[in-house]
Amino acid sequence: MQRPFLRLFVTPAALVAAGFLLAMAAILQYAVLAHIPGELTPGGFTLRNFQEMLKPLYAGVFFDTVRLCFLTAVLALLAGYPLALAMVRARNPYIKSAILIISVTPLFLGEVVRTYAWLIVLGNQGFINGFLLWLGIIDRPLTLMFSTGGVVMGLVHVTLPVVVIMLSAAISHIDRDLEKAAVALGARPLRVFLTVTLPLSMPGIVAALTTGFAWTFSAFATPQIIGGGRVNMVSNLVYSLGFSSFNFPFAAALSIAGLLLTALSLALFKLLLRPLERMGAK
Amino acid sequence: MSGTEDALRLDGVGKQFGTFTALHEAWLRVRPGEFVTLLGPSGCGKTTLLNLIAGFLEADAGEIFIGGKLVTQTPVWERDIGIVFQSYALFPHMDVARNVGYGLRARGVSRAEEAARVAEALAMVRLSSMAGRRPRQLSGGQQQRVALARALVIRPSLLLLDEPFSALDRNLRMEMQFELKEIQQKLGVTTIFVTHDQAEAMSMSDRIAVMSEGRILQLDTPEGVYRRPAHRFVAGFIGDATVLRGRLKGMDGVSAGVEAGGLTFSVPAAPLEGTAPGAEVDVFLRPEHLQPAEGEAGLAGTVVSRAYLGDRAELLVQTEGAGRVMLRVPGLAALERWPAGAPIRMAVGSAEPVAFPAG
Ligand SMILES: Nc1ncnc2c1ncn2[C@@H]1O[C@H](COP(=O)(O)OP(=O)(O)O)[C@@H](O)[C@H]1O
Ligand SMILES: [Mg+2]
Repeated sequence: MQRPFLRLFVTPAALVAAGFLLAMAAILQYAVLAHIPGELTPGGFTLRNFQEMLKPLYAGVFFDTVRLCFLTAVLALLAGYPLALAMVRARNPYIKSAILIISVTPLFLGEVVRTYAWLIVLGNQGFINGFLLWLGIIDRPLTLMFSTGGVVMGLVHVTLPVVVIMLSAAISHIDRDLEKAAVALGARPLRVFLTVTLPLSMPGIVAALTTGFAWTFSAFATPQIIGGGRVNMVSNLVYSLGFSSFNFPFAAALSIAGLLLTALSLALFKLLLRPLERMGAK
Repeated sequence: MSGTEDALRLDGVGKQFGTFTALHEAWLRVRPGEFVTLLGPSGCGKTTLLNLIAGFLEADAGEIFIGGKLVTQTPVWERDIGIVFQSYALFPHMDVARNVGYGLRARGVSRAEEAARVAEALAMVRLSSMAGRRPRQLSGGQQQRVALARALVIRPSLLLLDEPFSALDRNLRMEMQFELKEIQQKLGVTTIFVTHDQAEAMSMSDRIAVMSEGRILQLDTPEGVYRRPAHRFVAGFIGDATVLRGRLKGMDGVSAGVEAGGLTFSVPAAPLEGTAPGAEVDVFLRPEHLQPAEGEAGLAGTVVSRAYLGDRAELLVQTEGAGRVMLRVPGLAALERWPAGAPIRMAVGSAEPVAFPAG
């Protein structure tokens, strides 16, 4: 009785997956073909695209991307943990909902809309500069746009909702009786947090860091718009090579490398964070 | 602290949740070393009262004293209490020894002393060999004993337990009851124990506070709440009582005569004070308040069901016109003479029941 239904339900997903696989295969194929300047159709088989990537100009972008992703994940974690904790622990349902809405709605705005909002905040005539100038703390606008700091701020904003969702899921699984037991045994709130709540949140923290990292790796609009060409991530490089220079083979090779780098970083992450994860193991 | 100081004193402590009163003014004095049980059905406010004593809840009214010290405004971590939760609440990320030592570390005890006291506490609950295990590697009973050791190792001035054994199976529960009682007596620690199981309360407590709907109805020894219930709720909740409607015949200062189902019972007069002779009363009958009668005398009925318990049996009997009652008979006689459906005649037993004005 179950099987025909199952087959029916799985079909759409299987079709989509097959589509993705085909696209990946096409990209893989492009990546090993030669680029003929001035032509849209590629030439014959070559591995030159991958050699090209090792040039400092391109390798540097990969390095920067990893650095930005890591920084973003850590900052999103630092900003997201208190939010998630407050959301899970708030007794008042209105406060709970307010935190949920504030931290999660950005997810539904889309990256482009959110990033344009940052333009208004970060620009030379933007909110921050305007405010600081008005206060007289600075006499010239700070360069917030087209800077790494600005891009990271935007990326953290984009990543925060996922991090908060993952952390709050983990925190809500911590048995409140454990904290009550700790307080009753004479531990002050800070000690309870450091010895019970935080260690038991570790699996969630590791998951949030990892997801935040991977999530940021795929960011495009934020570095494109706030970075304005001065802060480049792998996705921006792929875009400019593919759609400005029409070097599809090199863009394809960069995509593949980006994918591999993400996988590699995540594996490394998992390995490095294992002791942390163990801390909260049951 | 002087020797006559109460280990715990509640002066009119009350708690509201919104408009709902979970606890009406509770008054309670517990002597040092005493084992007091809060007994009542689910939802009657036992946990609320325990949480107020522990400091997890703030009282709306009244004052709480622990060891003669006013603690109504004292945060939980300064109240010097040991708590055992129903869920054990062992820290899953620490081994048994670190779990037990948690309260000592919070108190800044030296490492050497922590190790010594943890070892001593684990020996007390017979778990010395389990020091390096994680909680999930222990059985339910072992986890419960670790929780007990963790609560006692800090030498608390008050030990609080909230239905600690209700997740255990019957045999283990009895074993844990004996073990807790033994340890409690050895250490002499004042204990407040919460349960909804009257047999558990009867077997362990020095005194029982019977609660219903946010009130402490009676605070007395196990024998007191069993033999001299002060309230019809208590009479119905403790022991297996059936209610027989009857009439007050007369009373003197100490006891009253009540006629019910054709039998005449002698009951304490106090609960019937102010009731006029001839008024309707409810007699709370337990199995030992009736006995089988020979011949044609007594209250007639038919055995509905029989619970054989070895040396004795309990019969549920449908009487003619007076509802159902229970009575206790020797086990062998029950097998021979009173299968379900057999006729039986009953007389007044040796123990004295209680009666309350008809409600
Ligand atoms: N935080 C709370 N908010 C509202 N009502 C509560 C809260 N805690 C307990 N209650 C109510 O108070 C009553 C007593 O609860 P509790 O003390 O847990 O009972 P018990 O432990 O005897 O089963 C129950 O009716 C319960 O629903
Ligand atoms: Mg309870």
